[in-house]
Amino acid sequence: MTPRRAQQLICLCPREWRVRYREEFQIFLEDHPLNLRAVLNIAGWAIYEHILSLGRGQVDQRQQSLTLMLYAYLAAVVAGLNFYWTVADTPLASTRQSYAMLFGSWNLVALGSVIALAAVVMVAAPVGFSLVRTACAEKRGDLVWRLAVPVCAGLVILTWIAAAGVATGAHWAPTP
Amino acid sequence: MFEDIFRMSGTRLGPGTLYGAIARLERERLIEALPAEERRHPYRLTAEGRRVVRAKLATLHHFARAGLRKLEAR
Repeated sequence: MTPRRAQQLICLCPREWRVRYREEFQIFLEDHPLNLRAVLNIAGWAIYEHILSLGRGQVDQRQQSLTLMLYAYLAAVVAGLNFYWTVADTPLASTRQSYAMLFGSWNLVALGSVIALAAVVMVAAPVGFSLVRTACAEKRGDLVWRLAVPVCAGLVILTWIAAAGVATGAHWAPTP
Repeated sequence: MFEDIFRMSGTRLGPGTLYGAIARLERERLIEALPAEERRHPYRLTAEGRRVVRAKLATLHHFARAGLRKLEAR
């Protein structure tokens, strides 16, 4: 792998990790070929380390595992809800009205997603609140910035939906 | 280390997996870095690391022996 590519991949890793391992990881990467598997492995591990480093020093391993599980559940629930809303304006929506079984199953899945989302939010809220309180008390600007990322991402998505809704007269979902 | 793991287990670890494990083991003071040798960065087990590995290997040894006994008893 070229030094430049190695540097780009190392930039994905958390800063505190880079301070300690940058030099040797750079040499390691340069001695090994660049392939998709390696890139995905480094990217996935870097995301994992970023999430873990959120509460490092303040939370124990069990709380870190809980936080990771919450992220995973949240991602699955959001994907499910997004799928539900995306197909709401497609032929499947009218087909649902014709078949009671399909209609019932669809609504059951949607209800399950909403309940799961509520459960995740209920469990995640105290953890998030605790992290924000710690970050403010210890004046950890880096922690505040990282915690702000999912909130900002959510706001960007909501803004995009609102803008698309206004621009298309509320028919923003793909139509046949 | 990368090649040793491949020789012993037949699995090539991804770079992130390997350095993630190294960072975690060093954080838990189970391994420590030795002075770099040109492009190599060796690590060694600490006393605590040696104790943990010994305990894990003993567990595996008991487990394997118990499993083999069960298999041979059939």
